[in-house]
Amino acid sequence: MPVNFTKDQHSAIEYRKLDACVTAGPGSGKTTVLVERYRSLIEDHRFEPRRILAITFTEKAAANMKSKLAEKFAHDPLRLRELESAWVSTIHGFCARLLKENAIAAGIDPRFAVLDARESEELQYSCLNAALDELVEQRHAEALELIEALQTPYVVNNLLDAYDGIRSAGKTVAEIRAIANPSASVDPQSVAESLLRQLRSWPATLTPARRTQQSALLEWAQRLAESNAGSFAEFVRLVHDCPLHLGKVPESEKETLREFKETLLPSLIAWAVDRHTARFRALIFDVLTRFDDLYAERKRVLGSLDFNDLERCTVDLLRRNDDVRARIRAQFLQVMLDEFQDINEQQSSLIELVRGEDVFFAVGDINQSIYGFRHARPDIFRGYEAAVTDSGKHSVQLLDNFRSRNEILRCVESLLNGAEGIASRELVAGVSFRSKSTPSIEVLKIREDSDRDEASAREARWIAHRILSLRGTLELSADDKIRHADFSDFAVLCRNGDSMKPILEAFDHTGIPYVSGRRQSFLLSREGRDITALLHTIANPRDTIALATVLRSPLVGIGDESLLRVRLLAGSLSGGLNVISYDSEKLADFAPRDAEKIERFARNLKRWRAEQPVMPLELLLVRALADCGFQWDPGAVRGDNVENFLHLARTRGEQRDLLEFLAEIESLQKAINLESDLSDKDAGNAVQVMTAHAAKGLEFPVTIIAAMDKGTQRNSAPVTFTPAFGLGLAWNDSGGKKNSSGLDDSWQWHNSEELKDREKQEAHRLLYVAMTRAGEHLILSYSRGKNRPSNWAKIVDTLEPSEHISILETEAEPPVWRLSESRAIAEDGVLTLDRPEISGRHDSAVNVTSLAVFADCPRKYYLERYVGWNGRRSSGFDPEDLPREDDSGDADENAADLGSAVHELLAGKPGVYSDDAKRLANVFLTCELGKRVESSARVEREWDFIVDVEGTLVRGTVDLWFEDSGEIVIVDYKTDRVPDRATSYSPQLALYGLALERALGKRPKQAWLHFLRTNTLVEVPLDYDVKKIIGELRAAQNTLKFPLNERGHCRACRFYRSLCPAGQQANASAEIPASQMPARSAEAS
Amino acid sequence: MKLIRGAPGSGKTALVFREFKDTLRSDAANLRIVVPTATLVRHFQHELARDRIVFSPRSVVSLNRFIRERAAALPNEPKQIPDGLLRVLVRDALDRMKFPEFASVAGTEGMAAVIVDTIELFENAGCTPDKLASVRKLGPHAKPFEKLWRTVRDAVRQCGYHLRGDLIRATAANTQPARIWLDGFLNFSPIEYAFLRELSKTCNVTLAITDSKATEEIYRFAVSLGAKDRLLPGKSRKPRTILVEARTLEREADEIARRIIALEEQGTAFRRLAVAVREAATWVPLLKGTFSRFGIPARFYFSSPLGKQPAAVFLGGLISAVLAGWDFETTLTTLRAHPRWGTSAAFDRFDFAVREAMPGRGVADLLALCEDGWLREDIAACLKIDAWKTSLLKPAEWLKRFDALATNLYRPGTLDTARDAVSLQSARSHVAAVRSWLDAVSSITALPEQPVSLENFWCAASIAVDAAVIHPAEDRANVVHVMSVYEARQWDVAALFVCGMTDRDFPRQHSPNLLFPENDIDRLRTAGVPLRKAADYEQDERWLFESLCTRASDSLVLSYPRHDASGKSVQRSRLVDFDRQAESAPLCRPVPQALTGEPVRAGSVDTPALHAEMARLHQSISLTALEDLAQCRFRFFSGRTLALKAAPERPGERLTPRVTGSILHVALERWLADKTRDFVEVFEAVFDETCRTDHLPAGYKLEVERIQFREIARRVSANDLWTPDSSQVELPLEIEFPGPIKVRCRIDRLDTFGNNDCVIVDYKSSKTANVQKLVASRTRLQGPLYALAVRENLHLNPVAMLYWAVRDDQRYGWGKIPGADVPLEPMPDNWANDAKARTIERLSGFLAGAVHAHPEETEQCRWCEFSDTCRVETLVEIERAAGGGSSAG
Ligand code: SF4
Repeated sequence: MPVNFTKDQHSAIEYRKLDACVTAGPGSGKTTVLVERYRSLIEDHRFEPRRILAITFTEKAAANMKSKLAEKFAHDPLRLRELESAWVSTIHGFCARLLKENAIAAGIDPRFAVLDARESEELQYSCLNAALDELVEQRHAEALELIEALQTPYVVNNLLDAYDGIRSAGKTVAEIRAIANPSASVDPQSVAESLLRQLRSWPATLTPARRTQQSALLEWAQRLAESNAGSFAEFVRLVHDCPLHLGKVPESEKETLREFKETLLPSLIAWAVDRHTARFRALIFDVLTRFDDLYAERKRVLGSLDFNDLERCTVDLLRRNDDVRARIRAQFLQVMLDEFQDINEQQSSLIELVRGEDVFFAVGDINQSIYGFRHARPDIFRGYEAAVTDSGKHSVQLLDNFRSRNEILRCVESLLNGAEGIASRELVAGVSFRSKSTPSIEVLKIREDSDRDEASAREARWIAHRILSLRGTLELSADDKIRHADFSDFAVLCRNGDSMKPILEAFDHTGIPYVSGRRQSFLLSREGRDITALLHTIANPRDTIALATVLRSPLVGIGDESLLRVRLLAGSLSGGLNVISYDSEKLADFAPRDAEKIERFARNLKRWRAEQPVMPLELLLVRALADCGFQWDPGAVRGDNVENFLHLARTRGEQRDLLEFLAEIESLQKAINLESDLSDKDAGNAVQVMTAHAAKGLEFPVTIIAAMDKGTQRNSAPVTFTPAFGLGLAWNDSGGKKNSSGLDDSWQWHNSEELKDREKQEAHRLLYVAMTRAGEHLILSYSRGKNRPSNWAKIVDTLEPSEHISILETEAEPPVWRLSESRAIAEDGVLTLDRPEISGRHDSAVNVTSLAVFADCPRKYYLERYVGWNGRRSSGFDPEDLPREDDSGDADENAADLGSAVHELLAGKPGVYSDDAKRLANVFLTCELGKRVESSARVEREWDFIVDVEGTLVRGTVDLWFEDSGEIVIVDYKTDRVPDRATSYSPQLALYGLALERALGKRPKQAWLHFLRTNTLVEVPLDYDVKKIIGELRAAQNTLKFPLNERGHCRACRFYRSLCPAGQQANASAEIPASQMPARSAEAS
Repeated sequence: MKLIRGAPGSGKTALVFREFKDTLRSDAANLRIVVPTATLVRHFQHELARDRIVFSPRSVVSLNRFIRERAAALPNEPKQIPDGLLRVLVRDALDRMKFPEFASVAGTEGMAAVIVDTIELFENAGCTPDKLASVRKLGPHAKPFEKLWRTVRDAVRQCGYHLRGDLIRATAANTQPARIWLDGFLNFSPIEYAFLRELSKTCNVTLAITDSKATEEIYRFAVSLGAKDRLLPGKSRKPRTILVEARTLEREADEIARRIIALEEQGTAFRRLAVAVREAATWVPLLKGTFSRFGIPARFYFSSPLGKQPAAVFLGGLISAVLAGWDFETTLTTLRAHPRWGTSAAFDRFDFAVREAMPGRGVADLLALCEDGWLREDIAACLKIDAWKTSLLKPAEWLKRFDALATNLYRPGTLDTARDAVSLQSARSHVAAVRSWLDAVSSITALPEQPVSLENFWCAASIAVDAAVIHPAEDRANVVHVMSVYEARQWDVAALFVCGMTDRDFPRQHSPNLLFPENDIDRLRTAGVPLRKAADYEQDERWLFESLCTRASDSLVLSYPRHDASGKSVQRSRLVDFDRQAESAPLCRPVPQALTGEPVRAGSVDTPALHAEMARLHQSISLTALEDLAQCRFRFFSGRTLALKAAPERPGERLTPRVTGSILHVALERWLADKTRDFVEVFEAVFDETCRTDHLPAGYKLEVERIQFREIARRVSANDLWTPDSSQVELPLEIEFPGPIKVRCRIDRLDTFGNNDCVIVDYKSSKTANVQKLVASRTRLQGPLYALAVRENLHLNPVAMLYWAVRDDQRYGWGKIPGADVPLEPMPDNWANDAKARTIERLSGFLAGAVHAHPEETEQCRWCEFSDTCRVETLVEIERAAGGGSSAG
């Protein structure tokens, strides 16, 4: 980049309070100029950053501009602060911000989310299909006729493309429906008559051939004149069969008849088509209207907007709301817009609404307009450019190129100057490179006559070969520093996403590290597919293709023999695995290592499946991969694949269940060829592979334009759209030739003409953009078969070898090169860290009752206290059988409620209590102990405490303690019916004793349990070793081992034979002798 | 009132503890240490208990709890409105009041959220609807908001609850004296200041604050109340500050893990380390995954939304299913979420059965797809709630039903102990979700007591459920604490990591209030409603950062990535000193946790006993299967020996070429058997039949296929180019091969001419170009083996074998058709015998255990179901590498 600005650059930077238009050629230092102008506005002209709106084409460009500005103002914290909220963004970023701040005025959900391109595509797809299905359901006969009438019934994608066009033009479906027929009305009758007139006026003396022609035409014209009532198919055939041969008509008539052939005949067809298909066209519009409604409704429910809505809602807001518009216009003293040539009509309206007078600074280059297929309108830029020049406002041309070698610029000029769509201009080399003896431009022509796919694959291998040869040998000399090219210096640009596939495959095979603009391509990598299979297996192992994929992958890694053995165990792979998970003895015949792997996998699979619903997907995957012993190197291609997958799980998996996530993966896989804005993640030392479109705004020392023989065909789609003519449709030509591209209606016919021109021009400009990305070395590559090269290859084929251009034409394979993966990994290596030893996995606190449960049965503690399942025994669910107060099924709960009521009553809490509660409370109040309390010196009820025992916080509540004759007595009321379980309360009371001793400095003397139901008083000794039980609890928590204490008490336990495995293996009554049954459960049973 | 001030680490909390301890003996019941958050409560309790103090857990509380407690002690026990119920009331008010100003947004979730937030803002500012109404010249949204707020407040009261402001004002009536210390606060809201002012009238209040700019407001407040000020000596601690730059978020997380492990190795316990997170949605899952990989125990102080928890999916899903008529797809998702059913083998079978039968709806049809057994019984019991749709019950009665549903139905089977802390947390989240779901539903029971339908009750309850979150219990003693930046600014730790220090998150841009723009706020402030302005929020951001910088005693690690989660460039926060040099994060990874699977010994079955098993399995195979074997051994092994199957296709994807092909074949079979019938009619009948049996969903796509295939059918029946003497269709034949293996085939049509000559016809509905390729193929066996079968079984002389590509009515094949001029390839010499030899060789090799992937026609791999399983691309890669050439590596 230039350190000193050129005169033109200075002129562009300078602020003149006038609308300005800058034409910035490739490599002309446009970003630097934009940043410098922004700086100058702030520093030299005292603009506040919030009063400058800068709109870039991509988010990357916005981030880049922001970071450059931050660097410029690093010394000025105040400015830096202001810059954080500066209006530097893409047009969508700007709209989103404006709408968020004015959501109520705009009438949109204030917390709206923005659907990304793929999400909206998918939603549109499903809505359009729904609209078509509705048509079939509700207007069956018409729908069937429509299907037969269309040239192809597979119109969903084309209709969606047209819909996008309609919205980009700032139009509605209704407006497009209303566009009148663009063809002047023709009438076969008058056409015939005028032809007849003309034919009759032919000279009397004619050669025999001309005479024959005349009579054929006369006869035909006669038929045409009479044809009016004939069927559509017959009429079309008649027009098709017009016997006109221009070679056989008199010279004097040639021009008129040429016009007749080229214009009138097609318009006759279109006329007929329009008449015949009018009701089908109406149906298509009905479908589109319904789809539009459905789509809007779905977005409303989701609270989302798509990119187009962002623009449309902003335009609506600014149009309708004078206050907001006035505020916004007054706010922005400068509106800077980059890549103006790629703006569409809707965006243009938006800018018009935002910009006040003489605040607009637009930058563009008509030669770099490449987004016509996304409905960009370069004529908008042209118009503005002309207006600025005509009105004598601020107009600048930046033509110096500071990026490319002179010979590359000359090559661009020689191939493209004068081509349709390219404004001829000289590209002036603004920097000089070291001279070199080898050519800077290489042409690779790979021949393979029989198989087109193989031709592309071979071309890809040649490209890989060239990269490996040039890496480390090609000298680069930009910035006066000489160095050898490395992977990160290379970029491969393709015309479309499909062409990338063989190239990426070749890179995979040769080990060339790359980053690809193909969205989510890691999903197709080996790692991506293995992990996807793992997820399918977790979702349902009966997907045995996925299961086998996992078993054969490095995640498990068993041989095919073992696979067969598993299948033979139960007739299917999943059945076999299920058998193994219950009976590992079945693995006896397996190879020992495989047996171990399968057993481990079966065990793990069970765990993953249990955890999957509650565990974040990424965590589940990380743990599953770790359980499999699968590891990856950060920074290596495989590592990136895994991490990209994890990232996807993190971002897309959060709000979805597993099956939804898997469906999402499938849809992402289908969309892989759609390229998003390339992320600018600096992937380290890797070749960048992207479409030529995505390369806009970027530069690479070595640029390879690949698969130049491939093209696109958008003008011949069965549905087209242009803002001028609206929606065009191609219809079934039932009587036409085989493989006929159908019959165009008038709208389609006009659109095709316009699109054909646009395609051609845009193809030239895209090549211009692609070639001008190259700094020092340019490789132009294509494969070809027997036919002459087409598309870009046709243009490049004209190049001749020279001092600067080398041409390699070959049918041979390149020599095989391979790069070992280790070389592709970051040079500084990867640290491997041991997992830390972990201590202190126990809880920091426990409450006394939990501890008592633990002492009774560790497993019960685990289920009820540690995990927290309420232990209510499930008596089966009956929806009509509501729990009643006296329902024995809820006896536990009722008992617990009664217990707390009695406790509250005894603690003196006011309230309304049941007779039962009052009766039980009275039992205590009237007993011996109760009377002692009345006379005691100090009484505490419901005394709650926290005490530290050996580092664990113990928390509890003493029902009652009192001080009588200097002695402390503890009382715990029990409303259980089981007085013979008194000993199990020892830990609880001992802890109460300990807490009181610490708090009061005095050891309690007695502790009593009072079983109120039976009015039984049991004294509990306070010598229970609480430290020991706490130690045991900690040990259990540290190791997560909570053994069952299977005894007579189990039958009374609420987890028995449900969450707890006790009693499940064998006959429970055989396991637990009846003599050990507690009284209550014996009753209950 | 008393004020204790001091720099971080100067011993303010220790002094509070001392005073607390001293007072404990005299008046244990009325002591409170009040801290800002619930997590700090536990932290303080630990610290106190470590001092061997025995104290009531109620004596350390969060400010919110403290306010609730003071309110609860009043005679009418005022309570604050639960969030879910508030949301329901706001939605209801928005729907009913129909303000033209909000007309186009009233029904949106976002608008309800904006109203809830704005009510909270005003409540915290101590404002009331009356006060707001008295402020003049506000913007257009002020009036409707005020009316809405008033309506909501009345509705809240009718439900027996209070909004926060009302609740706090009500607590003024509680004049119970107490000794209170407030510690760890950086600021209070205006309503909280009012509360403290009232409190200080009857209670002995001590405020312990950090001496910094951030607490200036508290200081001024205390001074205005005449507080006694005590400034503790000592300078603010300055931990060692390290700045780390990483390439991506993943590398940043790895680097935090690496440093934590290093600190722990050097003797700093995990519990003394904390990570402060700003952007939880990005960082919490990432750190969970990273810490799990590196084996770092951590506690995450974040709640997660209830909505996606399986308990909520299951319980809410059942109710929605009652209302929506048990649509198969959504009901399956619902039932799958059950903790016992969802992972059982029985459910796996049910799952596939339902997916095959989709689309569908209805209880009976659904149940019919479940095999008899425990699962069917359980599901049947659960589906009985269908009867609820006609009930009219009071909210409390609905709650009882929902409670019964949750507690009796949503239960796991036998529960093993968790294998580690993460599994334990997962197990706990089931429980937490059930509780949170029931809590959310029960909050609705405060609505007026009229009987309502399930639909109406659920309509309100689901709003509360959507707003609910879960916090599974977690209390491990030695863990790294991962918490929000707001939580972290009150903690004291040895080392603090602040991640994601980018300019997007530090400072965070304040989003303006949608209802009250800045100039409204100016007016409100002038009128005495102290709302905060953008500049105040910006100031808060700086103080937030400054307080984070003082929380660590030893080290503070500030880290940032160069790219955000979506790969876009981001910049380092300007709060970080610009001249500070960042350290870079080295690449690291943990040692593998389990043994890695060794390289697969793939491609062969070596044990003779298994060869016998394979021979048994394949005693009789179809010719199509044999074609698979000829194409690739592994394809046969996968599809035929292992019988691998994919999950059922989704309804929209069922109409595959295989299905349409089979429709055509069946139709042909029927028609050729009775040519008097109209073929198109036969075709239509078969098509309809298949729609039913294969559950092909009606719609546009189906009709398109039907019409296209009807066209093909028309052509097929119209075009017979030769007249045989007799014709047979769907002719089953067998060929014996050593093994012995029988290869079964079924010839579509066999035309005989004269005594002995015959022509074999096979109809193909695939693309014409693909049919054409069959003739060029060197691998295919169908042609020659048909010829062989006819010769051996029927003793006829096949003079031609042809494929009829029905789509375009083209014929390709070998030989010559008597009396017809159909251009075919010449029949190769020794054609059938060659094929036979190839078959024998393939079969014997396979039965001897050669099952490896080796496609004869690599193009076929593109359509092969097993292309993921076979890993053929790795084999190709190996071959290519082994193929020689130089290496750049
Ligand atoms: S993809 Fe190819 S190699 Fe793999 S199993 Fe199928 S046919 Fe064989």
